[in-house]
Amino acid sequence: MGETRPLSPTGRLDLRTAEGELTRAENVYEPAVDIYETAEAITLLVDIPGADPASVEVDFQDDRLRLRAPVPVHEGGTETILSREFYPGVYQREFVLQIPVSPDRIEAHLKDGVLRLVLPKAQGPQPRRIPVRLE
Amino acid sequence: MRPMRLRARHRGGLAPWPELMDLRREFDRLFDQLWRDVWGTVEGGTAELYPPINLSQDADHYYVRAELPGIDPQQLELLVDGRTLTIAGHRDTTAGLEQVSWHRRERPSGAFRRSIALPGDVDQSRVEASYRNGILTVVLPKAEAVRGRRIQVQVG
Repeated sequence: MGETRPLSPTGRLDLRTAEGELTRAENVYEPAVDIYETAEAITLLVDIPGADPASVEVDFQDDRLRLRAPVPVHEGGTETILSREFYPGVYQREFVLQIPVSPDRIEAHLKDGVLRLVLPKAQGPQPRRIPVRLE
Repeated sequence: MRPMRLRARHRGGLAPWPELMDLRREFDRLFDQLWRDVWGTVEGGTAELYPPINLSQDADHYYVRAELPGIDPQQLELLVDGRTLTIAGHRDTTAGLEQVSWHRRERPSGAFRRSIALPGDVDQSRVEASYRNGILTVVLPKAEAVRGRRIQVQVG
């Protein structure tokens, strides 16, 4: 498209998806995220202001959590841009989880441009430390 | 929340010349001041102005949009003074989360204040603001004198 693509304040600019090159040039941003852990779950809080709630995609597969959220143009058809610091495009980020979670209990909530992903930790047999008996 | 600061530290070894120490202190002080000027007291994120802002216009209005996810719009302070729009507020990303274990914190948190210069005068009494999906949109009707009238071209 030939337009300049400055860095979005909310993340880095990355023209590649996890799969490889994009077939259509678009602005891809990595959203800022906070991650915390409690005894029960891992929770991710992702800033995706301006994302269209109906188009947010969250996928979990093979310990990888993938997020994709397109951001449409906000300006109306009659508006002329005078100055711009954030752009339409798509938020995209992927995480590899190091703690086992229960995929079927993952919850996603979107409010005011913040996506909250709650990943309950896997229950069931936990690895046990095996005591070594000295002889 | 304390602002995030970088401090030059002297890590032992041979002490640098006293003049260098003064210079370093002065540099630290200037850097801190610059950090505060640019970033206010917001912690985290990158050293850029917060919130990011887009400015646009059509024939009758100026439009100011800001990326402000996860804030309470009722707590936001919006001021129009002449040709200046000021957006101020605070964001607390750790509210209610004192007992958790953090793996990563990237989202900006803290107080912010930003003033935007508008290209022309506005009708202050009719400014409207809305907040949706984390985007604040402020619509400022242009003052009558600024709007410009379409001039009919007489033919003949």
